[in-house]
Amino acid sequence: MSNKKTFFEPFVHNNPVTVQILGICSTLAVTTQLKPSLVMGIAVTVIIVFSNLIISLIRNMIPKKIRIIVEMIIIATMVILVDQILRAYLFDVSKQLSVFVGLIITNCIVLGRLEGFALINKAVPSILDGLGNGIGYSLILVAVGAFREIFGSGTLLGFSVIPQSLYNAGYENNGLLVLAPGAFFLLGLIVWFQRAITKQYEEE
Amino acid sequence: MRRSNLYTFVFITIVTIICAGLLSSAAYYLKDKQQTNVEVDMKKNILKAVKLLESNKISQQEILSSYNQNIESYAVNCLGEIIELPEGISVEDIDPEKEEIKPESERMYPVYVKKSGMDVDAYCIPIIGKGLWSTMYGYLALESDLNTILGITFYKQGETPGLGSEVESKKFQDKFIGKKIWDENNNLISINILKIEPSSDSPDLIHEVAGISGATKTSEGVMNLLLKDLNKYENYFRRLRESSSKKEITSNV
Repeated sequence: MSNKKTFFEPFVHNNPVTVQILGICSTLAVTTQLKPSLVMGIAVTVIIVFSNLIISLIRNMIPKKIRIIVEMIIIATMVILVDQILRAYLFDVSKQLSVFVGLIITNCIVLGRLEGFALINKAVPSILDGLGNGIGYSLILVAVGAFREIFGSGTLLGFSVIPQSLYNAGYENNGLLVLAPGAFFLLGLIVWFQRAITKQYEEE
Repeated sequence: MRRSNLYTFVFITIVTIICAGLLSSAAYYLKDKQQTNVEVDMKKNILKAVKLLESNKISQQEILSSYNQNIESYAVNCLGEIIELPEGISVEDIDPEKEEIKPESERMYPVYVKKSGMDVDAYCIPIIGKGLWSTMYGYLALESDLNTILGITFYKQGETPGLGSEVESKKFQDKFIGKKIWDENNNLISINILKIEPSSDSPDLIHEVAGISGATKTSEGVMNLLLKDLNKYENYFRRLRESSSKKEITSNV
């Protein structure tokens, strides 16, 4: 597979969220607003890229029997590092994301990329694969987060975007969108929309 | 390629040691910064409760210097006496949540006062209690009459986003401003949180606030924690109120 394809494939055609249906938990949990979605996307991207790189560099040294353990150690280390750095430099966001940063450890996308790609590929393609998948994940998060914040709370990045005159005319924020089920519906619609355009269906 | 067990052990040991080293050095170098963040966050919320903080966009230094200039802190016990703190502990170090586990006579209750010159402008106490899902943390500030609410903040909670988490919103917190916590007969009755907007002809309007719609349990939680935490300070507040009313009488004479 060419490097270009490795990088761009996960954006749409092999998107980790909408096609592989991985990382759903965090997609539902942190996307009530755009800002945490953005930070979560960046955090996961950084973690996939670095774990992919490290595993790819030591892939020929890892004993096959304990490869999952080694992968988990690397992921956990990366996640804790990111969590510590957020706490030191982006305190407000880390308060908002609370446990979900720690839960990146359990995000299937990260382990999936290590098992499926980094273990059998060289360093440069592994970095590109990590970047591609991280961005693919972030795209969905940002789309869901922006939609939920605008229509659920009437704000975007904390600024009011729905004019007061609309509220005066009887418009109300959609309470469903701030809850997890709202994100579920939205995600389902995105998957439907995407497959209707790409004509890419699960086989019978 | 099959590898010997010894190789596996050596490999995993090296990986573990490297990762552990990385994490402990990160924790070591970032610790100061993280602790400052927590401290600034706490002081910021006290300043917010006593209305010294208008915008969120001020630097950490400004928060700390404003706190040092305007806020004094001490601790009281359950009888309402000001107590000496044990060596090496400052009022800011007191964790009100841990105090609740101690026997009542040993508990220390922090008080933060805003002073201008010699006069106390406002009293601020920590408020903590359970909502629907989570423990909510905040501060309550009272004016110098120890009756009128000057401000209330919640800075940490894990209530339902969009519903219960509205306790953090300015809109909800502003409803408390100007409400009274004592009735005419000098009973501490705290604030009553209703499910509906309090009617404007209600005799208890000055003690009533509308809860958050769709978040009954969170609103009840706020009501309970206010009563619980105000009760802790009841003795101290009574002393202050009595001494200040005596002062008024003597000055009138």
